[in-house]
Amino acid sequence: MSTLAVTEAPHIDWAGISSLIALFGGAVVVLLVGLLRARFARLTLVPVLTIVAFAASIGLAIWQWDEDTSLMSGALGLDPLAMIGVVGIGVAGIAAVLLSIGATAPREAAHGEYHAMMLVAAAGGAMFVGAENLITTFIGLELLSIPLYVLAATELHRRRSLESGLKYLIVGSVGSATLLYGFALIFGATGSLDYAAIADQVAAKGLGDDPLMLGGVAMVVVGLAFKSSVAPFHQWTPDVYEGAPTPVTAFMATATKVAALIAFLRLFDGALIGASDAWGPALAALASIAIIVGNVGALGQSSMKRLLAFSSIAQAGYMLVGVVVATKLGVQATVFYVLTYVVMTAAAFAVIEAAERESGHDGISALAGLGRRRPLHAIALTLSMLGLAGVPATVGFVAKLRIVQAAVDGDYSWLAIVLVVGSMISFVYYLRVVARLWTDEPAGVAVAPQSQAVEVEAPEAVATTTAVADPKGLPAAAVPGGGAVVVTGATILPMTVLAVVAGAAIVVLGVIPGPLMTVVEDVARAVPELFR
Amino acid sequence: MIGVLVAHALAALIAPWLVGRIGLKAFPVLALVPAGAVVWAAANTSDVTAGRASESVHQWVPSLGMELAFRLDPLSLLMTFVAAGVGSLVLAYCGRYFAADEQGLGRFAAVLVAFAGAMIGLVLSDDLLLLYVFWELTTVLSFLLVGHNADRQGARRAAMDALIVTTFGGLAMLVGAVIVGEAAGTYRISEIVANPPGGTTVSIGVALLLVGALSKSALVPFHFWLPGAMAAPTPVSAYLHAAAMVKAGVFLVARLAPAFADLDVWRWSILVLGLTTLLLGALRALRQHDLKLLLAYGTVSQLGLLTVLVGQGSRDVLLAGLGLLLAHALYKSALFLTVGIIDHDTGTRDLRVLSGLGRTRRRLAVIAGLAAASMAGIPLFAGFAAKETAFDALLHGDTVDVLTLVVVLVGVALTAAYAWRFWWGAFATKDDVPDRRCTAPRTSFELAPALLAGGGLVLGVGFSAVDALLSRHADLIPSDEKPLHLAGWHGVGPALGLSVLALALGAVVVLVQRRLAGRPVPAEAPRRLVDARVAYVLLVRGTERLSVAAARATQSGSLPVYLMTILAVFGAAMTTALITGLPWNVELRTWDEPAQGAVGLLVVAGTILTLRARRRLKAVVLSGVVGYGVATLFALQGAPDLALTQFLVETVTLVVVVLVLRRLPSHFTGTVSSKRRRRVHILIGVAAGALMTMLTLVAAGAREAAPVSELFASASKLAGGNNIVNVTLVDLRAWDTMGEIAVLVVAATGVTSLLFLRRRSRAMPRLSDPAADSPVWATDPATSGSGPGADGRTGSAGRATQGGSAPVPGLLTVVQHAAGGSGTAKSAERWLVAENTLAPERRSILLEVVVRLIFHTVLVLSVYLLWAGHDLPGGGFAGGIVAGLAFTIRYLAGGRYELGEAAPVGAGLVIGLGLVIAVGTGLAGAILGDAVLQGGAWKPDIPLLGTLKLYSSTLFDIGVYLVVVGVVLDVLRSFGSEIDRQIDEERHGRTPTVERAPGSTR
Repeated sequence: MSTLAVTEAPHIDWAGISSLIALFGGAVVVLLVGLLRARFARLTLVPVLTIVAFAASIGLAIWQWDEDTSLMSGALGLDPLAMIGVVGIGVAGIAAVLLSIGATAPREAAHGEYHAMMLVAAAGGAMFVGAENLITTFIGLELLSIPLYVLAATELHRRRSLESGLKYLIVGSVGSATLLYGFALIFGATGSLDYAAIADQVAAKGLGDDPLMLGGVAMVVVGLAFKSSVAPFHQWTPDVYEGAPTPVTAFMATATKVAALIAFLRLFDGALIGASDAWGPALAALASIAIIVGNVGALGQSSMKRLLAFSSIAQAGYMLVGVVVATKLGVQATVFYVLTYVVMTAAAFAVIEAAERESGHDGISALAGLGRRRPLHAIALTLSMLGLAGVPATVGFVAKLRIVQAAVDGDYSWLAIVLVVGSMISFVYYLRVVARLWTDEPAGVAVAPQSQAVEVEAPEAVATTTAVADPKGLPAAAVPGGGAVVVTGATILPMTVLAVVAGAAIVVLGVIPGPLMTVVEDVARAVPELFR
Repeated sequence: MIGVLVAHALAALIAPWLVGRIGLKAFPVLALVPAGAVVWAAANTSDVTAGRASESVHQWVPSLGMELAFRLDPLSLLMTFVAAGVGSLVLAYCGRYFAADEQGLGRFAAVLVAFAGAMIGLVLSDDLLLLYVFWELTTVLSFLLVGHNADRQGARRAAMDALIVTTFGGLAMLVGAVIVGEAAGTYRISEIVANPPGGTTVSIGVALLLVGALSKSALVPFHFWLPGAMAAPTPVSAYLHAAAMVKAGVFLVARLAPAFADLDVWRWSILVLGLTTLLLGALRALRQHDLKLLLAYGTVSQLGLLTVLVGQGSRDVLLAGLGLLLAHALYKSALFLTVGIIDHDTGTRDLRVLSGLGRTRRRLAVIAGLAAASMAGIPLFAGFAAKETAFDALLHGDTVDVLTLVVVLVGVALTAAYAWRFWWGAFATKDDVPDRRCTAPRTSFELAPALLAGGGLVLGVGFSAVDALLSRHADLIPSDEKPLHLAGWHGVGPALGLSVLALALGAVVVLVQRRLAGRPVPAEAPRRLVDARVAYVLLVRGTERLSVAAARATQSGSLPVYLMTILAVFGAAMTTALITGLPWNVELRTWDEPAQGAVGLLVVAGTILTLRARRRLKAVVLSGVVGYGVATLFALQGAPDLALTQFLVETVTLVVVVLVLRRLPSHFTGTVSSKRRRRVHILIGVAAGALMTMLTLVAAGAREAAPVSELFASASKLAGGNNIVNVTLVDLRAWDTMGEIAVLVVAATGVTSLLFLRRRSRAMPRLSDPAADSPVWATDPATSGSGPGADGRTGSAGRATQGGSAPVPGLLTVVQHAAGGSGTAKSAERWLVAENTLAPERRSILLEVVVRLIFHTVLVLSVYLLWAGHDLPGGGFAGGIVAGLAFTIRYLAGGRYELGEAAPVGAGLVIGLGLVIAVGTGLAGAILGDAVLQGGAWKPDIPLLGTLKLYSSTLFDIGVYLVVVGVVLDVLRSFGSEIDRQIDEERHGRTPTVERAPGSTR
């Protein structure tokens, strides 16, 4: 056999991509295990293995923490920013798996596939946060998005779920296409795909006002704004959040946010830092629109998932502030915020999922009197709401403070004021939820006598519980006062565990934020362009 | 200092347990904690008075600039006395106020103690951010305290209002703190005050800090929350709304006044808002019938006065303000606690109902009298001494100060009037009102107000005792004149005259009001134009309504609307980008050869026709024309490899879309009805298209580097192939291909898993299926027209049905005629599977036979394309699609069983095999060569055929080929066979697709 070395293949640092391998490998294993016939394998082994894979990726990321290189000829960054992204996505993944235990969605989509898709999406996210090359960025994004389109639609028999999957697919594809076009233009303007080389080119050629470059940047802004649901590209968010199965919504809300924001940081504060005069005002405008639209929109919501969707739009706006200022402090602030956002959102979704299983819908009324029925859940949700609002002694406050500091420090004081005005509005709806938790009587049968309470003894025994939940094929929320399903014996324990852990983290990190803050300070290493 | 706070935290933690254990007795025990703080403060008094402020600094979050910095200086000492002293008395009082079986008492006790701790922390903190933390803690804790009677709707709403308003202020303050802190380079308050930063930004920051302070201290326009918060239990009001929390704002003003009082924004906002509040609150207080509300408005008024005094910016006025702060804490909490006793013992707080209490509860009347006297400013009492100092200080000022003095004088007079109204209303014996019954007095209950009211007298007499301490803070503002001092008696002078004048005016007001009270009250009080509460409610409600309206307008759930918004914004962004980037370097060239122009016209025409098409099928076919046109352009441009790929992809897409279309209505539904909206759509669409065209032109004109394709050409030579597309795919950028096929597989898996409503393993239609006996694609007599027509066609089509046209499920069987065999699928000839599976009216023997004949040829062609791909047009991707097309035509000609028999393997298996081969090649490269996907070649000579060039990349290409074939199969199975099956089942009512729960309707 005569061998011919045609091209020099890139050197591959296996340790460096080990966390990616853990996720991909986990996906394959989970997919195979899911094929086994035993109930134990499907119902227990699959989630456990998925959690193991997520945990392994987190562990490997921490192991690789001190590295600071790029892999595969600059395609993938191996630095604290990427690793913290992997950790954030891993945590989001574990939370989503816990929420999926006993849920309808994995049962309908087959456990193996469901969890494998989650792992693949996480792997895509991990690529996305590490990408230092336009192509890798795009591949990571697609790998993250496509499984999510499917996951959103996994509750096959619920029209809302299907609709949300379709909407997410169409709008998401528009976003991806725009992003790709933008990448092409940036490549055309700079002649390079690598972030570092792009930054060099922008600085060397003064591409700040090159039409091609600006067009590309505009498209990239639009594309990424889609992914992180920044207004006015947010309109899909409430519909998709509400329609998708709650565990999937939780995963979308957290993992996607981590990935998209870190990608924002890398791309804008790294590769495109030289053109910050062009994108700075645009992003600042987007951030303030998102803050206002999200917070005002959330006021009128009665569904918790929709409320959180709007709030996530506003939160994306807050986080974007750290990108806009294009300083070291801004990068740290955004990363810190996005991590804490994962924790706070996970706590909220844990409680919502539990309440949804018990009452059959995700309206705020389902939470009434939770303080008496499930004090642990109520405390966790209270902490989550207060944290999202930014009340001191929760980690949300520290995060928000950091963002405000970054904004003031980066001469964007007006943006800080917009942020605070938004937060003021947000207090109304966050606290309304809290008030509901602790004061109202449980909205039991006595409160809604017309509700069609259907007892489902053991959800597993019935092929499709959603068919029961929606007797008319309508979403439960659309039936006024009706459609409440009391599922006795619904699995609540994993939710409780998640809620307690996340709730505790909100307080502990709020009182002792120092260690996490120190960790986050490392990430600025990953955007050397900021220090030129 | 931290010890004091930790003690409070611990006390708060054990409070619920303690209350559960010993009931109400727990309150006096808990009161010992703030009492300890008082003792601690007292022990430090001499040091602080001597000017030795003690500090305690611990690192907390260094990167945020947050430190646990505490500092005990004169101001914080004063506030500690107020917060801890009143706190301990109120806690002790709670032990008598509440009933033992009160709900949630443990939580209440814990929160109250925690509040005391937070308040002490607030006044002690020397770090702006730390101060904000305590600030918000007091807000949240006060929310819990005000909302203690959570069963009452009013209490809840009041708590919510208070929370929203004060948090609003708090957040403004946070930004202010950050702005000031960043400007000063430190967050330490003592350093900022010693060295205040300047500039416009700092002015904004200070203004924001003031918003926080003023909202917390219930100044206009935030004043409405305080009366609302009177829904709280009375001890809470006494503590939070008289002594402690509302003083936080005054405290902050006093704290920062030495640094910022000369800023215009500071001076004017404090003066105007403070004085307005003073008058407004006092006037409102005069109109109240509820004793507690009367006190609440009185507090609002006094807070206005306090803010003016401590914020006015001269040393003497500040001193007077500090004195009044102390005096106010004493008398106002005493009065609140008195109201609590009255409420508790008589069951009412309405001064129109209360009568004769002065006789039955003489001791209580005396206590209240002492406190009210201090409030009114009667000589010898603390209130008098403080106010007189203020008069004196303002008299010596400039014009503004004198004007201020006039307003303050009126305010003080009104204060005296409502002080009388309070005492008279609570204790006087009214002629026309029957005496109110009252339970027997309890000494321990009256102890706390007695101590506080007595304190007012003691302080009034011995005011000079605290002068040294308070002067120490006031001296932070330099003063040229001879400094004033606080004292119980200043001697006879203009100030005393003013005090007497104020009391006299107050008496006049009382008399006038009594005269007015005789008159009949107008049936409907005239609506005030500006009522802050109404404005607040309107604001909140308006925002909410706006939110709902906005959500309804923008979140219609309609995808076209969403996409329109997106396109509009996108268009705006692009236009801006393009305009900013002027001038462009655009170079226009019509065509290289005329044929390109013709094809271009075809493409344009196809596009326009597609848009105008009403039928979905037509639109799809027309868009196919566009695609083929583009592929032709590729071919004309000299890229046969690209063109081939494009043609193939276009074909497969067309087939797949047509398969999907079967499940959709034949025409586009829901087209835009209104002309205007249609125009908007057209406008946005055209604009987006024009923008993209411009962008493309700009992009084409911007080329300055050599085309990368030349590089690829030479690189592909190096890789040993002439087909650039293929070499790029499988060699140069094999990693990307690897990723892409993974994405492809995931996508296919996703699509099919959405479509298959049953387990996939059973999804492959084979002849051995029991269901295979039912005809595929049969026209359904029930849906295809009216009775006679259907009957006629049944006959002419040569199909016999049993059971006629009635849609009887499960009875529809097919008896094949001359063309067919024995009539069951299992015994069908394998060569033409459709023979016994396809509905006869759907069969075309010619097509079936032709397809059957060319099938293998096409497959061979696909393998050839795969093999030749490295040098000639083709490659794994193209080959895979060709093979896929071969299966597609089999399916189209013979239905799902034909497909099942043509490819009796699972699509998943093919895909998996492909992936394994691709990955395996990569790994082999890693094992044999130095890296993943390392290329290699093997060129054996084969007789007859010539030299076979085998590259490792070819192996990789085989993987790609298999994946593509698998995906096409998968798509055919899902969009083709599975949808067929579902349609057939629905038409002929076989087993329901979805296993539904019993009892549910479909």
